[in-house]
Amino acid sequence: MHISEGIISAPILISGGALTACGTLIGIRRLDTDRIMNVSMLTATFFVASLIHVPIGPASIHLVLNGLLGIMLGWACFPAILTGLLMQAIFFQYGGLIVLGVNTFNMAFPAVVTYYLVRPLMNRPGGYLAAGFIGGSTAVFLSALCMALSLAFTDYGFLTTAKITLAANVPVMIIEGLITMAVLSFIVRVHPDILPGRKP
Amino acid sequence: MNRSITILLAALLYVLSAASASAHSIHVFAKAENGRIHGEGYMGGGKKVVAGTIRILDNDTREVLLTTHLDEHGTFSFPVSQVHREPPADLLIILDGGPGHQSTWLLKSETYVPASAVAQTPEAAETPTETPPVEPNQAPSATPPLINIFAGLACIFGIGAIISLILSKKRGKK
Repeated sequence: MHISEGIISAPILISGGALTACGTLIGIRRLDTDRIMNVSMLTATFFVASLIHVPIGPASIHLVLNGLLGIMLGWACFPAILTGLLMQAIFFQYGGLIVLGVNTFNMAFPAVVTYYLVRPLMNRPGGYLAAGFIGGSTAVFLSALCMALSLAFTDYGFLTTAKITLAANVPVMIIEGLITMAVLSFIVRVHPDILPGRKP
Repeated sequence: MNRSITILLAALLYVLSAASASAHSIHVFAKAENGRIHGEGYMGGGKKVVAGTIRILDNDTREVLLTTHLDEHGTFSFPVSQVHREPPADLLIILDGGPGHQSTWLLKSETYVPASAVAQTPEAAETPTETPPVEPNQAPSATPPLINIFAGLACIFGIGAIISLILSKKRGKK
């Protein structure tokens, strides 16, 4: 899901950086002090989730968990994903510092969309199960689409790129949907008030 | 209840970090030897890249001199004569490993031209020549070292603690 350095054109890099900066600013402003450690825990989970890889074709795919972050953090997933990707770039050499803005936007924006998409489901009886699966898989789907768009704007064919990235990420969509569903199922049972948009 | 959430997230963190790990950034390197250019494509975790496309470009003019593919072992090889030009050009070797995955390697002309000259004469071709060692752009590592994983986690929680401290102080002032 990470785009490497030296591939994306300068206008896309700048646009991605600017959009990420806006999202991060909104995320920090909406961040409640009491939830910072929750954000840190989820950031750490996002950070290590990328270590699980499934080799497909010439490259490989890995867990993202941006859907889980989106559902649990809302806009605060922007600073969380930014921090996670920064640490991955520094310690694992994934992506890179120059493409950090684009990669963050590609993963955080779908997470925010997912947050608004599944929020109505969270208060329905049993709706959190559907919310978890839909949220987890939709976030990966939208991230793959954003990645394809980023590459398409850099002279790569959109349809070809989109087909390859979406096809490669189908297993991740299913796995992430199930993981997000399981995590939400547990949290709703033990501590539902930490989920934004859910009435205790 | 808060403790349950913390335990769940910590357990998830442990399971994920304990799982088999490998990096997914791709790399390519190449060297000239005995009149041929040999190369390899690999992921950051050390796994071979298969089915990737290799393009050989003149680094100055960006003319594509040759297009080939990695074999099932993640390697490629071709005679220097296929890309040799007068005057000899530095070769930009590009590995395309799928959308968003690309790596490049620059092979200086002086590293492959002597080998090319040797290969052109049959008697000389039988004598292996030494070429300057070419180091890969980035040495393959089996997995990200454990210390890097813990360092990253420490940084994340450190940043969280600092932000928490700053916001608490701001609130205290208000």
